[in-house]
Amino acid sequence: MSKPSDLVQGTLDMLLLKILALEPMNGFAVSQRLKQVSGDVLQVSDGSLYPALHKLEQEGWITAEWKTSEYGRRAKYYSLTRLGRRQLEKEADNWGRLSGAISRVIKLKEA
Amino acid sequence: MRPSRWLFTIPLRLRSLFRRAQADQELDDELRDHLDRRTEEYVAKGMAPQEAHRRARFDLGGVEKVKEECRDARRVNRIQDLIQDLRFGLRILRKSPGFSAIAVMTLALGIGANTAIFTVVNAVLLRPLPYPEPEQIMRIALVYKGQIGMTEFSAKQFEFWKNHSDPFQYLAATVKVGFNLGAVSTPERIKALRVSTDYFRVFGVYPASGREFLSEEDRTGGPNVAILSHGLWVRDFGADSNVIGRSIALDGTPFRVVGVMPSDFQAMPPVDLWTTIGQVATSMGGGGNYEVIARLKPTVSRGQAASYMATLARPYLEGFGPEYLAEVGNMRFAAFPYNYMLTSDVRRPLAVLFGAVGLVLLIACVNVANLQVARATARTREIAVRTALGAARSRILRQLLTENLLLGLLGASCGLLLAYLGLHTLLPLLPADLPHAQNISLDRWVLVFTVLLATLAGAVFGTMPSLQASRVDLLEPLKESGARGISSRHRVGSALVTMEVALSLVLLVGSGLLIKTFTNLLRTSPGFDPRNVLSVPVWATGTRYKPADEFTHFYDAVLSRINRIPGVESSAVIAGGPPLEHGGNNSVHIVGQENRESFQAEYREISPEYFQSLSVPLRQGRFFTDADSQTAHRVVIINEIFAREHFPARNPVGAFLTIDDVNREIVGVVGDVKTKLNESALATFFLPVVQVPTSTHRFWEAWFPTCVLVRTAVNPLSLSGAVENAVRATGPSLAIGQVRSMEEVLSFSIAFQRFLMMLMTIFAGLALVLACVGLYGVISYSVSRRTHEVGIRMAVGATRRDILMAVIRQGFQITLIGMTTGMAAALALSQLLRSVLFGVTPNDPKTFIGVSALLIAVSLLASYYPARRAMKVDPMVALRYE
Repeated sequence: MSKPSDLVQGTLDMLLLKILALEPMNGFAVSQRLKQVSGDVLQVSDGSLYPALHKLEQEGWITAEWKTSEYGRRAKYYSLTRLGRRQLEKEADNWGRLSGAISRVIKLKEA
Repeated sequence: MRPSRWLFTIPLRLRSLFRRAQADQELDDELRDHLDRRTEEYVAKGMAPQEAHRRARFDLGGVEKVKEECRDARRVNRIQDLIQDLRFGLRILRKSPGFSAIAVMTLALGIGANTAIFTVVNAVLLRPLPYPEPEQIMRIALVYKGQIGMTEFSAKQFEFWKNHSDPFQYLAATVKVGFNLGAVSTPERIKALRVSTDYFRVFGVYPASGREFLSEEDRTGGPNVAILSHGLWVRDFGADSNVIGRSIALDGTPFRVVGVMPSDFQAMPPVDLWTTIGQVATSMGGGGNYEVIARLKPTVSRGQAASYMATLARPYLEGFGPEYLAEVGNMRFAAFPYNYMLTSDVRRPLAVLFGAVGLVLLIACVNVANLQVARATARTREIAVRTALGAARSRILRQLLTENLLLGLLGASCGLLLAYLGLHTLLPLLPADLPHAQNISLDRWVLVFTVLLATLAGAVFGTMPSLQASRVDLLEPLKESGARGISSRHRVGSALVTMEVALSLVLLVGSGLLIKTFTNLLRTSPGFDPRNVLSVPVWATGTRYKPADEFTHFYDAVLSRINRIPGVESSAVIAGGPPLEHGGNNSVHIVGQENRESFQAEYREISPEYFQSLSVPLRQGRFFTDADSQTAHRVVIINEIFAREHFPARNPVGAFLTIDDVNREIVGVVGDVKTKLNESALATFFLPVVQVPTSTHRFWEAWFPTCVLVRTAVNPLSLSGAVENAVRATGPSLAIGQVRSMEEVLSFSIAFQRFLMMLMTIFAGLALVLACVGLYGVISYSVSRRTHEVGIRMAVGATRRDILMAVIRQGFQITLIGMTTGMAAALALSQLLRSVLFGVTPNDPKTFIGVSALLIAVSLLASYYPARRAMKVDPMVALRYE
């Protein structure tokens, strides 16, 4: 299975959970939002987005529902589950600790 | 994992499993929606619609690939993989119907043969006896130098066992007898067991109505009582519930019915009726031929019983055979499981057959493996493509193994059908005296066995080729340079075929030895001329013929009536055991040799024309005549073996023998007549039937029918009706057995050898064909891959003959290596057949040479056809081929 090579493993999951924590949205919107908020830094190809979403659904962290959108279009809307919210908190914690540690290492002044 | 999460994900998994179509449709919709939106986005940015669509697809990076990855993300469930693999496997099998048909058929033959034989083995050897705790039922036997020796005891010896029965809960004796049931006209001959009181307790089954035998009924002078089998009760008494207490006539004597056994109880072999054994314990014959059976105490292990029994040889010999005490070290008593004793004669041959079909299946598996190896080459590209598309090796391996399993199961289903049909052909061929033959049926254990076999077979023929096929070099096959990389495949193929040749040689040797045994049996003379002789067994016991002269008159009347039938040349009666069957024996003493112990010899009573009717030659003296009457001088005739063993230095004619306290003069010596074709004849003496007291005659008739033998000038079976009518007309109250020609009797006596020989030959033939197909396949394959090479060889001057020889040599090499290996195995394995062979040693060089020649000839043929194809290669075409 292909993975976005420029993302730390597991990070994509966390990002998707975070985005879906804001509001339920469909896959295309997730992709747009991801680009938008990360300022095009995080390149997640459309191709790897959907398998990742399906995996999250399979894990029970998000759930999907077919809804008619504002323009009268049927689309699959993903939303966070209770389990997903807990998972997000856990991953966010981890990330906070990890990124804190990394930035402390990076900020070390050369003696 | 917490339960809440399980609850949550289960519906999803189920959905992806059972509602695949819908899940797929949704996935489709979702991705199309995405593409539409993306396209719109690009159009909004000012792209041409077509270009926008193309970009959107490009961004997604291949719709099918994404779909597969999404499916993968969902696919946590192995079952789904399996279903998919099975579906794919079926598609693949359908795509190459030729391969599939051959593979399934090969496996069906192998599995079918195994299932059929297992059905027999299961019923005869494995299925527990239908009694409660059957493993506790034992039979007592003497073991002499490691071999089972004496298995029958006398009434007095039975008393010994009753006094030494510590490990046993119950102990009983049985003896097989027969009765004429019914007094009036045409009585029925029934099989019966005389049993001691505890017999039913040993088996743990009690009468369904009525009661067991009481101990006061089981003794000399006790009341005559009988217990009916369910079958007899239904057949002859219309399942009458008032039968208890009724009187029935057995051999003309009234017996009171005291019980009826339940429908699921039968003795082994089945009987119609049981009566008590104590009645005959002190009558003539001393109450001999007792089988002693026992039920172990639940608290006693077999080992404990064995060590107890081992101590009994000395006290037993002190009581019954002090002259053998010197040999006590070589003897021990043992209690054998009842079924072990019942099947002791057939266990080895059945095991050999089972082994033989096992080899056939192995060959079948090797053949299919070989086909797979060859086909793997054709599938290399498919597998390479799948690997390139991202399928893991384990995934491909699983797919290939599933395919093989599928093949195995398809083969098993067809095999089951073959086994079912085969059993219907097999059952009539089964020797009638095979224990439990009536219980042979496909049961759930057979089904379990077949499924296991299919799985095992699938694993055997599937693993190796699959491993090899899944180890694909991605570039080579895609470059389609087919000719390279085949050498290892070819080597594997050759090795497999070598093994096949070896295995078929083993089977061919086995079948060769059994065929030789059988032809030897056919060629061996039974000591008489069986052609044009009719045999009619009759039981006169219990009829109105009581005094001896009435018997005499009866036989005279029957024989003269038969002799008047047109086409009859002569006729005679024999009692005490018909020819080719075991008969009675009796103790003999030679008058004048007072210092010599009396000895046992076969006992027969005959009418004067007996030897002429069977064409038994006279060696010395004379045959009996009508002058040897009831009142005349007592006479006896002996056979050659008797003369050789007991009168080594002198002419026996004129000497006197004491038999049953009567001195008889030997008046003649006749040729030997065999009791069993594969055994040498036994020392036998013949008495004129008219010179034997009726009581003696009746005594023998409890075991052996009196046989009326008729020599005819025409086909004897054409007279069977007339002869039977003649017997019936003379003695309406006689029980008559199955009327057969002596040739049928002869053929029946070697039924087991015929059965073994036929099955072994079928299996060996099957093995030979499969091995040849394998060889043909490998050589054809190698020829087809070597077209290019052949072209070059021919271009540089090789003649067509050279090419032909080269290919044939290749096949010959495989055969030779296989044969050498097989020869070694056959030398060892043929020893297993020793006990069933006749007139041929297990290592018979002629058989080995003959079988090898056959194998070489057939294998040459198998490589000749591919070789001819190679020979016809046009060098120009071959060189252009690459």
